[in-house]
Amino acid sequence: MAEICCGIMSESKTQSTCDQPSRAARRKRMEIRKFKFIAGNMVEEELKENGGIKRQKRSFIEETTISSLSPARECENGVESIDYENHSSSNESTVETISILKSSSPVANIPVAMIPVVEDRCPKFGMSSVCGRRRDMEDAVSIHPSFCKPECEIPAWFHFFGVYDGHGCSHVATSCKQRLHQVVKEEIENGCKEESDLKWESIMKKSFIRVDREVTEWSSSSNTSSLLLNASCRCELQTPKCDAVGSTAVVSVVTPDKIIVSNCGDSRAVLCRGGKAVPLSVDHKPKQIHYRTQLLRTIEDYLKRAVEEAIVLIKLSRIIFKSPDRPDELVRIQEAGGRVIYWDGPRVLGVLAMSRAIGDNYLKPYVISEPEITVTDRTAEDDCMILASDGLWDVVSNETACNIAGMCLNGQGPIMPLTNDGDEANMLTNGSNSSDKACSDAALLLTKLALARHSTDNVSVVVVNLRKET
Amino acid sequence: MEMGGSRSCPFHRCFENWINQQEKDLDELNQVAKEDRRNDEKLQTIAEKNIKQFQEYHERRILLVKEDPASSFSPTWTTPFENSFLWIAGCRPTLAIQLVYTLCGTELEAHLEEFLQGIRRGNLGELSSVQLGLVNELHCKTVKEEEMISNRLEVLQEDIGEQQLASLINTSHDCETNVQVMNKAVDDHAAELASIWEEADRLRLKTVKELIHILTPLQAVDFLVAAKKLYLSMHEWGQTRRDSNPHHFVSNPHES
Repeated sequence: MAEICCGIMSESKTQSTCDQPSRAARRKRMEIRKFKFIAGNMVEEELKENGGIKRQKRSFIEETTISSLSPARECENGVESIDYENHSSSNESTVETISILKSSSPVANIPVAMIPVVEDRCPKFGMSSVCGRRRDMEDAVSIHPSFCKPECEIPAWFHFFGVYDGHGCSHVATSCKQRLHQVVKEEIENGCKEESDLKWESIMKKSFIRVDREVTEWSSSSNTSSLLLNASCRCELQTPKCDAVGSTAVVSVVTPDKIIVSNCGDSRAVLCRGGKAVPLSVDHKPKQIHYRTQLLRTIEDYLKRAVEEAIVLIKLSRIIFKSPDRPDELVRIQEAGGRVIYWDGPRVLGVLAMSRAIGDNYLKPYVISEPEITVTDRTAEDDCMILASDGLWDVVSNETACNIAGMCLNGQGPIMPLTNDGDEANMLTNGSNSSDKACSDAALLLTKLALARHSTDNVSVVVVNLRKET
Repeated sequence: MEMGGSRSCPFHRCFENWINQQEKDLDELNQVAKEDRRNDEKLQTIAEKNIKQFQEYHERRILLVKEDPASSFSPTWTTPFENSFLWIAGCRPTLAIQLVYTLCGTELEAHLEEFLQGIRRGNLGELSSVQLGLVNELHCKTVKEEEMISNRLEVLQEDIGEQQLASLINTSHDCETNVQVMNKAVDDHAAELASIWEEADRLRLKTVKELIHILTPLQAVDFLVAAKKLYLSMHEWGQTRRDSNPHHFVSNPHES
């Protein structure tokens, strides 16, 4: 399934402060004409600040899709574009808006009005997801900017980013894509009712477990018509095949001041902070140890101790049972009565190469769906966050990924080639605002790099710009 | 190194002409790719010309295949090395997409530094996100179609166990009705085989056509150069390997 998408967010003030029609705006209009109009909806919100009340109308002017890609699919591989417009009304004369012309942007003269609550902006993002060298596409990406605005904390929008890497079939990843953000939203709202500050750990755990239960119930129920997902997947939802299906999930909720990452499986979230790579999740993946080295070590070990100990069976078992990368996970699996067996890498019961996942009913209770959660405070040094499936992380290090994303965000990255068919190609690739494009360029570049380095898996990359531009 | 007897085989002649044509085309493509990298019109013309030739070759082949489908599935005019890569008597359609990924990756890795400095060459390393999306979509679609065709062949191959042919094994060979039944079954099998082959070839052609359409003219020419080089090299490697293996001449009666 093709998903190339970039988030475009621009704030333009329609009032007299910048009434000169900008080049960017014109290009944007032209761009929009090329896209199929899907839906428009209006969200109104009220913001309280500085004692004054400002009425802000947020119009989601368009959600667009590149119609040439596939008219049947809607926003999936679309370019999402959100325009914010400020409307000041006469009876609200006390309102102060601070407008700053953004001059750092490589495209000159883009007038941008900054609203005072900077944190309420949706971070820019870009994503890329390809089937790559695999024959089956089992990755799914889900991006929901401004998906939730809880009552209890500072009223501000939260943003949702998720990467799911399915195994066995694609339907668990697909249902995570369709459901997890909704469930997280519900849990945040529930959490708000109970306490004033959000208990992220419990919210995310509950959400993952709820989605896992839904997936399990769906696959065990004979009534497939009740499923949200379409049964066009490989396993056609037939038991027992569809019992052996699961998905990793790395999910990030970005709030004005925090980054919450929940992980289950071997996809990964990495934060680029001050040029350094800070992993925000730890893979639930047993380490790949070189088989020969491991075998030699085991044989040596065996010969040394065979003289002293006659229990040959235990020694032999060391060839089979490996200690994984995460001893805590091994202990957990063993306490549940499971085994990690070496079969093309250490695997739970010799089957699954990760110790946590959503779905995988047949491997319960050894494989659990409980995520591990990190809550990180956002700092001024934060550049961006990269969420990706192991198709990227298997071949590109955290550091390399951060460097490349950083370079793209700094504007050193791709400026699209001069093509003779000019405007059309530039319009599609450049978009209207080059800084918006930076994220999707970063995602694209990382995807291509993974393909270049012979990643054998599906590759899905989401890049979220976390810079607080002032 | 060609074996005498097989030349009379129409498949062999067709293939030999095609190889010669490929060599000529490759020279021409290489020249344009070197000298006219900015001339989109010229690049496009030559890419289209190559696709047209590819289509004509397919049309010539289908006529031969319809006459003798079984032979086309066990070609003696190609080398055993090449044959080991065959899918329904040709290359896998998805191979073209994998080649694009490989070319994109090699170009990107080779010029990553320059690329990050903003230097652009317009080659396959610079596939845009829209292009990558379309290539990916084509990939997923082609995989599905490949599988449907493979499935047809699987069904046909298993049919031999169910068909009337299987019921004939214990009956007398002389009986005229049996001979008729057998002939009919073999003919049906051949017709189905030819039809599967035609569909596979159609998919091969379609995939390359759509791919060329997604790529810019320069990328398309670079892709065609690489595809032809790979094709010709495999033929060459196969021949070298075959020539250095004397047992082969004994084991393949068609070519002695």
